[in-house]
Formats: sequence, structure tokens, C-alpha cells
Amino acid sequence: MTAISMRDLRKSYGTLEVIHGIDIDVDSGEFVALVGPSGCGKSTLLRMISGLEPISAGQMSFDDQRVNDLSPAERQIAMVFQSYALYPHMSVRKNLSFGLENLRMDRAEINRRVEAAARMLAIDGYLDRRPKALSGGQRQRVAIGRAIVRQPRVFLFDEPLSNLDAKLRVQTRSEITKLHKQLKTTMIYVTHDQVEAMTMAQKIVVLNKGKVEQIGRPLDLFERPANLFVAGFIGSPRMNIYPGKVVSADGTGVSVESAHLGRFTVPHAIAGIEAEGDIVIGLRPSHLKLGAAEPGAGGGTMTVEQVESMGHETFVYGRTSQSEDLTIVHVPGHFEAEMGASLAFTFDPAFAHLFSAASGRSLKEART
Amino acid sequence: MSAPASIAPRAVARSERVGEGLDAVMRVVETPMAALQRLIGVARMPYVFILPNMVLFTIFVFVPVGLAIAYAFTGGTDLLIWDRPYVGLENFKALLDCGNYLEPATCRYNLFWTAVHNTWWYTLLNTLGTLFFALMTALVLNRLTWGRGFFRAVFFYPVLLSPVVVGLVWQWFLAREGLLNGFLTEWLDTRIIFLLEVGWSRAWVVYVSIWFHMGFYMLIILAGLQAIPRDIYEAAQIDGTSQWRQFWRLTLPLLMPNLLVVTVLLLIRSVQVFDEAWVLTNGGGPGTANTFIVQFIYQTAFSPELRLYGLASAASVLMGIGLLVLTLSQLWLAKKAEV
Amino acid sequence: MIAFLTRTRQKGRMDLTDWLAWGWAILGTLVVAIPVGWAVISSLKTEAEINSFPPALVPRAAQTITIEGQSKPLSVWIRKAPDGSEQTVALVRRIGLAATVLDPAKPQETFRVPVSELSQLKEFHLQWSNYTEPLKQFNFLRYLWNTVFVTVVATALTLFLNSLTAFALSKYRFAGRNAVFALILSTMMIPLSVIMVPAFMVIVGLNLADNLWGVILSTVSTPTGVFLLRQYMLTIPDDLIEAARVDAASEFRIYWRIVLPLCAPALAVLAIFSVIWRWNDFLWPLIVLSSPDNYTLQIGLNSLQGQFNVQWHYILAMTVVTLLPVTVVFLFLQKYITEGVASSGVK
Repeated sequence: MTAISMRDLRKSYGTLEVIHGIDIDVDSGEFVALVGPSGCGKSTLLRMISGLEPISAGQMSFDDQRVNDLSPAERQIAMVFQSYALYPHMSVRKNLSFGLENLRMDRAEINRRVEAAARMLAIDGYLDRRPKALSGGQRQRVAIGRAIVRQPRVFLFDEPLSNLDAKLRVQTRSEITKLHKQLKTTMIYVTHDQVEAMTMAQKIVVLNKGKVEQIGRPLDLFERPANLFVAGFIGSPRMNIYPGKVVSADGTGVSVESAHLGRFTVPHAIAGIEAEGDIVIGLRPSHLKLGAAEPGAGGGTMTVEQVESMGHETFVYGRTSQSEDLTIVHVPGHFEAEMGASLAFTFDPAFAHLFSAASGRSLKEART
Repeated sequence: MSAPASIAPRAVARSERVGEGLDAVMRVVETPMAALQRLIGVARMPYVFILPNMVLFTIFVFVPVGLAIAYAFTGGTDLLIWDRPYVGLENFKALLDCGNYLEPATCRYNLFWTAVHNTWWYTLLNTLGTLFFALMTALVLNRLTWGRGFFRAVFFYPVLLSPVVVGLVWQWFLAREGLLNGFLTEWLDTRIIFLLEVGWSRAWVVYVSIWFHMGFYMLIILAGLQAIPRDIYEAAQIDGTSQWRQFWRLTLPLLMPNLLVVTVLLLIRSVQVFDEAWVLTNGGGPGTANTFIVQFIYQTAFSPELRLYGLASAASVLMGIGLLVLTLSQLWLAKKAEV
Repeated sequence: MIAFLTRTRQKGRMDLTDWLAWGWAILGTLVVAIPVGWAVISSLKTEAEINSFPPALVPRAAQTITIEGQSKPLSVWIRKAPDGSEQTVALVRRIGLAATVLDPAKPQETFRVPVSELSQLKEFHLQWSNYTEPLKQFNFLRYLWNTVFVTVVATALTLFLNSLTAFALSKYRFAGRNAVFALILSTMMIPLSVIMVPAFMVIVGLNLADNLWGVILSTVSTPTGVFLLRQYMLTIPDDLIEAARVDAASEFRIYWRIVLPLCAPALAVLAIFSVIWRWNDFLWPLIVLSSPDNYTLQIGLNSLQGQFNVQWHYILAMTVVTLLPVTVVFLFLQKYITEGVASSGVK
């Protein structure tokens, strides 16, 4: 079990800096997900942790030991690649044992570990096959098995589920979670899929353009996004965003006005907020309700463009009269509406997220 | 699916045991290499990997290239360069000392100029001949719908033979008691000692070269022909274009980049003619009728009674300049063909 | 059958150009096959047959008969007497235009007849001793062994060193990589004929003159091999190499256990060409090797041509032995070889 700390980590190619000073702490035995849109630097960061990519500046430590200049083998990490990177010319058994042989491990010990890992992953029936003869899910398990037999200090996963079909992805997701509970090894998991991150990780690091946007427990990110980027990235479907203005603010609440949502009062104090300031209001689709606004609550009307019903829940997509952005409303159960119909919606102001229009940063609830 | 899978694992396991055996042998190299890697770091390993090859390239190519020029400016019969006196441009002057370049007899080294003339005529005829036969054969094979693989193999086969074998096979075929003379006696009641008559021997040297190398160029042209999209011809057929016109207006222009590369390659290789001609004609005979530049260089440098390394190198340098011009023009053409 | 043979682009109809195409292909096949076939046939003829003119199309030898009372087997002839009758006789001896013969039925009675009445009886005969004799008489086994040694060692080294270079050039980024690659490719432009004098001096300087290692070492590094392998290695995913690195494999072990096995198809092509190059190599061994004990097949064969100018029956047999391995390799691998040449322009 290994704790990892990264301090002001930077990566540049020539003069082009792609990772701009990252600080992350991973506790021993923690399952951390790195998420972000493609090109945000999450894979580069993972490769810097693995030792495959040299670190340009900053410090990376495993349990207080500086590992910047150690090779992947010396860092004792194991990695599951997006493409699995199984050795096509070796049998499954050999794929699993190759790393151990490289360490000149005792033959009996190698066999013991390979058999144990194969049993654990239910691939013991295919040990003498080549990867080509396996299905996608089986290959995935072999790739994980290859990491397990090494008994590494840290497991690294680079989008390991992106090549699987939807059903298998859900299944493997829970298997990896189970594996983590069983092994209790530190795991770092890169994905662009926030559902994966939310369901598996204990801690999520949201990355964007080579910078950390927010670090926190999954629910924290959902309930208290630190900025507009995280608010838009976490949660599916995405958060509804509206421009607005602060009318007045005092110790009991903040009064807000928006062309789309009317006037409403957030019932808690927010530190450092100024009247007349431009803000952005964020509302999750699940916090919007269809129906006319009650007094004091916010609300608006939208013209329906599309209705997606899954039977047990329905998403209604529409536009508030002046807005260009779609408003999404989550309705429990089945719901039908005509295209072009005008629907009123309302919300509880307590759930409204306020962001500074200038910096995009969350205007946080003042805690007393 | 299930049947091969049940057989395959055994084969896989067997191949892996072989792999482990080899592995044990390779440990001899692997262990010091791993130690070296720990010492110098991963980033310097590629230099280690290219080192042996670069050392060999340096010793056997780069150093000789530098020395070739140095040799050309030295005289005497000593082999080692530091024993050789500097003579300046003397070797070049001697080679180029000529009353009339079209008359080898008027030159100081008439053998050199004879070789140059022979090489020039050989290059011209061999290039044109090979180009013609290779193109015709490629067109023919491209047209065949059946047996193409077989004929392609047949025409390519001579390319793989050794120059000595080709020289001897044809020497025997053309010998006084050879098969060709057998037929000549039968039908025309005459016998020709082909390889002892100047005209005939020169013709046969060119012919044997074409026979020997044609398949290689044919393959390159054939690959070019097969790269021409089918639908171009189909469009032409719909337009009612005659086959003859299709060849001149479609095939030939589309093949032109390919043919240019082949032509320059042929020129480069023709200038260096030696092996098969030397064996076929028993050393360039009759007389000097089939003595080419490379043979001149070889003999001037290595026959025990000459050992004129400086003169040979000067001739090499002159030929090298010619080849360089041809090579650069090839690169230029290849680049132009890409655009 | 006819329908099958005439299946051309126009489907079912053979026009003039199709006939010409077939004519060209078949004529060309004969042009290729006849000289080689003639050498093979001739290599199985007896010395007497090989020097007889006009040549017979099949290998034959004089028919012989063992007669009691005669120390050696006698050759069998047909005698055509002036009266037109024919008789089989055995030739005892021949002096000038007269020959002493006997009737095999009555071996005791010999009689003399003019040579003009006799014509020899010949039978189909393959003179295999043409192939076995040179083994004893000349250094042929030695040449063969030298050639095999050069071919095998040079090919093994070529595959090893060139793949190592190709590995570095395709799977690492390092300063000077492109320069090294360009330098290696540029050696393609330097033919042996231009540098043979200084190259020989280098061989002498390294004390490798008249030594098989002088032939081997100087041909080990081939730009073609490096190029071919590099292009192939570029198609191997870098993920595999990183996975092996994570698996604690040393860089050399990655080369040996991951990259090399995955390059097997390209290595096979290079191996085939390397074997053919070495087997057929002529000018460079001719320069380096001077004592017959070190000759390769090609040099030995060339030298025999001068030495035993008239012993064509041996020369041809050895020629056939020399072309046989290449022919067998080609028969089995012709598809790979022709496709390899067509796609890479290697020769």
C-alpha cells in the first residue's frame, strides 16, 4: 500500500508546456479517478506517475520516497493499457508470467501467482491460448491479471473499459471495484467517462487543459462543483446554465434575477457576493420540476424541442424564450409532450448553484 | 472455433518451450546489456543498439569512401595509404591523357578508354533492351487472366541465379559444341564460335544481361501496372477508346514515373557491369571487346603485375561521379513522381 | 477446357492480342528454361558424350557387354555389312580405319572390319559420377562448406545487428536519429565497385585478407535490411513496448522478447534475400579471398573454368549444385520473394 504525492508537477515538450503544475495527494489504498475531456492531460499525468513519461519539473513521491528518476519497474507499478497491450505472440500464461520472469523470480512462485490470478479472474481455462483467440472481455481480464501477478505498489488504469461494449463495461466496472476492495492496493484510474469515475472512485480529480479543476469525493463534485467547468462536466445530463444578476444579498439569503428564470431568493448567505454583480446560475435537470412557479421559487417557460422517455424517467428538452441553450428537465416516470408546446418549470432556489460570471468560480455557501 | 482452439494451445506451449531455450542462450548478451542500461540509463540505450552497425558501416563504407579519394592522389604500388607518395592530379591526368577521346588507341591508357567505350555501348543497349523486354513482359503478364503467378515466377527466376552460374550456363549454351551450334549445324550447316567473335560476343553479353536481370525490372513495372485503377480503363472502354490508344494515352503516361525510375536504376547498374560478363567472356574477351570499366578498375588494382591502386582509384572516382549524377537524378525523379 | 483457357478480359473470346500475349509468355518461358535445362542435362553426360558434336538431347553412354576371355567390358556396335545385313558386334580394339570385333554369340572368333561399317549403340545413361568425382578431385566440399559458413554467419549477423539498429531507429526518440537514418540510407548509393580498392586496404589493415570473416563482416550491415525492418517495426504498437517496460523488462529484453518475435515476417523476407545475396556474391569474395582453401563456391567455380577448361562435365555438375539451393528456395518461397521485391524494390 502506497501513498502518492505530486507537487507542482510539470511536463513540457520543448517549449510547449502541457501539464502546468499539478498537486495531488493519493492516500494509501485509495481508488482515485482522473477525469477530463480528451486532451486534458490525464493520460500524460498517468504516464508520468508510471515512469513511462519523464517528469519535466516538480516532485513525485511514493510514500515520501522521491521517484522522479525511477523506471516503471523500480517504482513497482503495474498498468492496464487502453489497448490492453497483450503480447500477441505469447500465451495467456506467458503474458502473465513475463513480468515475473523479468524479475528473475522463482519458477514455483511464478506458477503459484499466475494460477492464483487466473482463478481470481476466471481465465484459468484459457491459459494456453494466444490473446487473438480470446474475446474482448477475456483480453481485458488478462490485462488486469498481468497487473495483479506483479503485486504492485500502485495499479494504473488507462481507460481500460473504452474498448468494451456497454453491457460488459458495467460488469467489468463492478469487477474492478470488487478487486480494489479485495486487494486494497492504491489504484489510479484514467477515464473520460464521468459515470465510470462517479461509480468507482473514492476520489475524483477533474483535469482540464493540464490543470486540476477540482479534487473531491464523487458526491462533493456533484453537489458542490468548484467552478463552471466541473459543474458542466460532472452529472448527466449536464447542468442547465443561465446568466443572471444579483439583486441584493444579506446574511439570510441572496436575491437573484434572470431573464430566463425570473426573480428568486437563494435561502442562504454567500460570502463575498456583491449586489449588481453578474453571475451564472446552474441548475441540475433533476432539480427542475414541470409546473408553474410558486411564489418565491424561481421558474420559467420553455418551448419543447424534444422528449426522451425511457419509461421510468423522461428528459424534456426545450428552450426558454430568449435563451439559446437547451434547458433539460428530468421528469420521473413516463411523460409526453407535443413538440413546440410551451411548458412552465420551477425549482427550489436552495438547489441553485451560483458562479461568478467573470471567473467561473463557484460562489460558495457561507458556512457558519 | 473450438477444434483449432483445442489443438492450438499445445502448439503454443511447445513454441514457448523453444522460446525459453533460446532465452537461456540469449541471457549471455542480455545480462551485460541490462547492467549497461542500469549504468547509463534508458535514454542512452538506442546509441548502444546502433553502435555495432555504425561501426561496421564506418569501417567498410565511410572510411573507404574517404580513402577512395585519397588513393586517387597517390602513386606507387604499396597498398597501405601511408606508404604511398602523393602525386597530385597525376593519376587523373594519365587517365584523361588522350589524343581523341573517340579513339581509344590515341590515349595513354587505351584500355581505360576502350572500357569506357564498351561500357557506354553496353549501357545504351542493355538499358533499351531490358526496358523493352521488361515492359512487354509486364504488359503481357498483366493481361493474362490465368497463370500469371507461374509466368511471373518463371521470368523472375534468372534474377536469383549467381552471375557465375549465368555466365557458365550461357557459355556452355553458346560453346563450339553447344546446343545453339547443334541447331545451326542441323538447319544452316554452319557453326559460329560466338564468344570468340567481337560482334557476336558483344551482342551475347547484352543479351545475357537482359536475360539475367529483366525479371527484376519486369516485377517493378508490373507492380506499377497493377496500381493503375481498373475503372480508368472501363471509362475509356465506355468512351469507345481503342486498345492501342488506351495503351498510348492511359497506360504509358500513368506508368511513366515508374519507367523513369526503372530507367535510371538500369543505367546505374549497367555502368557497373562486371560479374556475368567477366565469367561469360572469360575475362572480357575476345581481346578487350568486352572489357568494362569495373573490370579495368579490378585488373588495374588487383592483377599481380599491375597493382596500380592510385590509377584504379582515380578511375573509381570518375565512375563514382558519374554514378552520383545518375543517383541524384533518380532521387529527383522519384521526388517528382511523388508530387 | 477451352472455355477455361480462353477466359480473358473480354470473357470467352480470344482476340489477336491475347494470342500474342500467350505466345510471348510461352516463348519467354522457353528462353528462360532452355539454357538452364541444357546445363542440367549436360551435367549428367559422360565426358565422351559432352565433347561429341552434334550434341544429343538426352544423356547417353555407350552400351557395353562383358565377354568371357576379355579383360574389360567391350562397347557394343552395329555393323552394316556391304551386302546390307546388320549384325551386333563387340569392339575389341581399333587401329586406324580398321577395327577388330567379335560376335557376342561366338566370343572366341574375332574378325576385322572397316570402321565405316560400324555405328555405336548408345543407351540412356546418367553420369552421376560427375557430381561425386569433383568432391574427391577438387576442393569442392571445401568451397561448399565455406559458402555455407559465410551465408549462415553473415545472415545471422545481418538479422541481429540490422534489427537492433532498426529497433533503435523506430522505437526511440534520440538526438541524431534522423541523421543516422539518412546516413545509413545514403550508403545505398555507394556501390562496391567505387570503393573496392580502399575497402580492400581496410581488409588488409584489419588482417582479414584471404579470410572468410573479411567477406562476412563487410557485408553484414545492409541499408536495405535496416530500412525494411524499421518500416515493419513502425507498425508494432508502442503500447506493447511500454507494457514490457512496466513489466520490468530491460530494453534489450524488450527487443529480444517482444519486438523481434513480432517482426518475424520481415525477418523472414530479409533472411531469404540475405541468403541469396551471400550465396551468389562474387566480386567482393573475388577480391578478398586468394587461396583456394578459402574460396566460396562462386569463386571456386569461376577458377575451375580457367583451370580445367575442357572438363565441362564437372563444371556443369558443380554449376547445377550451385544453382540448386537458390532454385529450391525459390520454388518454395517464390510468392514471398516476388512480392517482397515488388513492394520494396530490394534485389
